[in-house]
Amino acid sequence: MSTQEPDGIDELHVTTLFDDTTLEVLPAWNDQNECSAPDCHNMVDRRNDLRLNGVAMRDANYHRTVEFEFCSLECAKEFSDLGLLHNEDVPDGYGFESILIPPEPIHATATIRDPEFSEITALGMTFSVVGERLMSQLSLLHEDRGGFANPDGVLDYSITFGHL
Amino acid sequence: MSTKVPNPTRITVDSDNAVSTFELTTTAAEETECAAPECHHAPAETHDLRLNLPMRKGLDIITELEVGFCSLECAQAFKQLFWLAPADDGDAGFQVLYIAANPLVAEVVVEDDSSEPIHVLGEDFEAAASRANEILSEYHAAHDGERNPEIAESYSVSYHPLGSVVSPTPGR
Repeated sequence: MSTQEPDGIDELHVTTLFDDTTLEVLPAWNDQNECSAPDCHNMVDRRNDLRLNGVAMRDANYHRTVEFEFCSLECAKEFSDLGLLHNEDVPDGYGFESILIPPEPIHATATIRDPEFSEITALGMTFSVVGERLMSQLSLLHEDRGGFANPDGVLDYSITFGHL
Repeated sequence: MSTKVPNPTRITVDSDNAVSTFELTTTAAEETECAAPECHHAPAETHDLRLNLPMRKGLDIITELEVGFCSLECAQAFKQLFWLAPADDGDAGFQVLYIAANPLVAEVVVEDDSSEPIHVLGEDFEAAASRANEILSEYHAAHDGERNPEIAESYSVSYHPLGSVVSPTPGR
């Protein structure tokens, strides 16, 4: 009767549409801060913001979004290419049957002209979301580095956008 | 019971530093004017030269007013005022408008585009970065970016304290 929400779940058992492979994927904010891509156990690096929302559906109706997070653009690309995932755990709960991963996410990388030429990367489904995520990360880094008083701070950077 | 939050669009203000009284229009006014004293130009359109001014009564910040400028020169002149008080203490509802001590200018250059740099003003890094992002999104939308699968656009953004940007704001 009760619908169990997937908040706090550590992993999802899914099958892919294309080759029927069964995979384990981890939603974002899992206990170990691990990358969501199948079989990748790297920790995510929160200087970057590499998140994507999957659309969880039940009976072909929108149900909710499930957020995924990645350690690298390569892992995000691999995950995004899975397209549609079938939730193997439907009978036990979580309330949804499939997860649609929207195609063609957008990424943006800011190259900061500090002595190290540091890079920050953000991912998302729309240009404006990616831009906002990148600006948030840059603002955090700017504060971490002591703000405007630091001449090696985040004062000069270039941004490049592209499709994953 | 409820405290009315003042939201004036035109306020007559005094400034100790400019020894002047002038009328300040906010961006919420129907006909917004540049906020610098005695400048009646419309705020810049190509550039995003806005500042939020915390409105204080006693020690409390009641709200923020947003003002706009026609040029970086006017924004610089305004910054020199440091703070403003309502000319009519009576029922203005606030005592002081503070002007950020170190506003930042973000200079946005779209690569592969010969147009002039776009200037964005903000009271701090976060405000300037957020407005720079809005400018980028508008540019992207104007160039049909969402429908163009080949987007690979590049921008450069550099930040400077207001007053140190040498080039005058072009295309007022």
